[in-house]
Amino acid sequence: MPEFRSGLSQSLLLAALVAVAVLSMAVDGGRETGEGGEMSWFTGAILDVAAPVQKVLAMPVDFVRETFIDYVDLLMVREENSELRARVAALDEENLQLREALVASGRLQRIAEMRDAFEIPMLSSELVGVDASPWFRSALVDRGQVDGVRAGMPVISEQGLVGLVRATSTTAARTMLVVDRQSAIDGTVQRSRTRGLVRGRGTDQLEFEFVARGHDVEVGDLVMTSGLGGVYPKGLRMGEVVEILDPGSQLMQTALIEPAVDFGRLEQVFVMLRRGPTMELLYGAEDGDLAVAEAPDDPAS
Amino acid sequence: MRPFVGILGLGAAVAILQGLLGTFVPQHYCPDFGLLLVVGLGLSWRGFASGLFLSAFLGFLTDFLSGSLLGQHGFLRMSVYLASRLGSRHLSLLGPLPLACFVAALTAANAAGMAVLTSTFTAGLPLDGTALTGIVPQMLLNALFAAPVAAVAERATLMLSDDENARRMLNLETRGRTA
Repeated sequence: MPEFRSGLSQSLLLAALVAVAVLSMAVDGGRETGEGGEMSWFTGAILDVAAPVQKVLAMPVDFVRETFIDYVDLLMVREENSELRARVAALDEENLQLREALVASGRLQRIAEMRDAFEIPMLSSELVGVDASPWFRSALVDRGQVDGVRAGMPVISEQGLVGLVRATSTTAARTMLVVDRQSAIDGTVQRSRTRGLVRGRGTDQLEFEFVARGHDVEVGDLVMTSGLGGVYPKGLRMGEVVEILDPGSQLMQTALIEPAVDFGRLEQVFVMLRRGPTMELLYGAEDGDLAVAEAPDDPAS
Repeated sequence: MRPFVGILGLGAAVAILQGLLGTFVPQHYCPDFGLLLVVGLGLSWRGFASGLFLSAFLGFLTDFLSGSLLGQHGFLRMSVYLASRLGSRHLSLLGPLPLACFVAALTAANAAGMAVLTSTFTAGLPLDGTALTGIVPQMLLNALFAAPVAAVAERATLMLSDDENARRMLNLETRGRTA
């Protein structure tokens, strides 16, 4: 009888734990398309503990890595320097010509006004950890609600688009990287203006799905955000086309993109402290306004 | 109670270190220490119920530190624990090679489970062949680290054990090795 009771209680515990796990998944899965973004206090507390611990533990490792990288960089710096000087000279020349052309057509002022209109406050932030599971691509950054960071804000680096803040705790934020399989961004080819969908593959590459055939997309083309999804601002660099897959008889053509951001060496990122209109609708406009209003004193730009 | 809290602490440390490790080693080339710890629990933990609860807790902890759905790792870690427990009873997992093969198979099953749960509960791309290419290095690495992590889990369980005999046995074993 005691054995039967013990077996029964074990079965009940198993059933209860499985039910909790499945219910959690169902609720969390439903929240992907609904309201949310701010973590529960419990989840937030775990991230608030994990982020500083990871940051401290990463310091010695970063020091060794930085020293090694600095040494290797130094070895290559002379050659790179002469190449860059030549490139700067060429770009200076090109820049002068373009300025002349713009001034001549009277567009310079309009472009300057447009830039001001699109200027978004940015918050410098450090990446302190990546996803604890190899099957998802997210990163933990050391800025959270107290810094004005809210779910739905884009995250970039000097190289290009990094991802989107998905959830925040008081002092940390979880960012879904563009290479995550749940990431899908409306993109455009800079040269031909061909539009398509840039999706994460869960690997270190992105895929670009577009309808047009022919030479609209070529290897080496730069793919930027189009701004049409209402999530990311227009013109953020996503990557470069490295391969165009054979479409066969399919209407959709797919190209592989090497991300502009080297996620393996990513350390510093910038959170754009303003959400796109779609994210405002999804998470609520008041939160977004608050995020901008509460931006700290040291935004990066 | 002491081993329970101790393993909880160890699991939390493993989850945090896993996130840190991923910042300088590509994620698919990091062993899944969380999974290996649960396998170790399945092989050496005495109480079924407390082991199951621990596995679920460690899984949920991974979910908190991951972009996965809440409960996804919780569910899979419980499955891994049950499989390990069954495996330890019905298969001969003594020695590094059988354990490595068993863990490699569990890693593949875990990835398949992850794919099924992701496509069931989210609208993102399901884990297809491209994403699953990462499974091969994962299987190999997990297989390689299975025996050491299982040994650490077993040793931690014994060290933290309330049972004085178990701790004494561990002391004797350690002395025997040093002699």
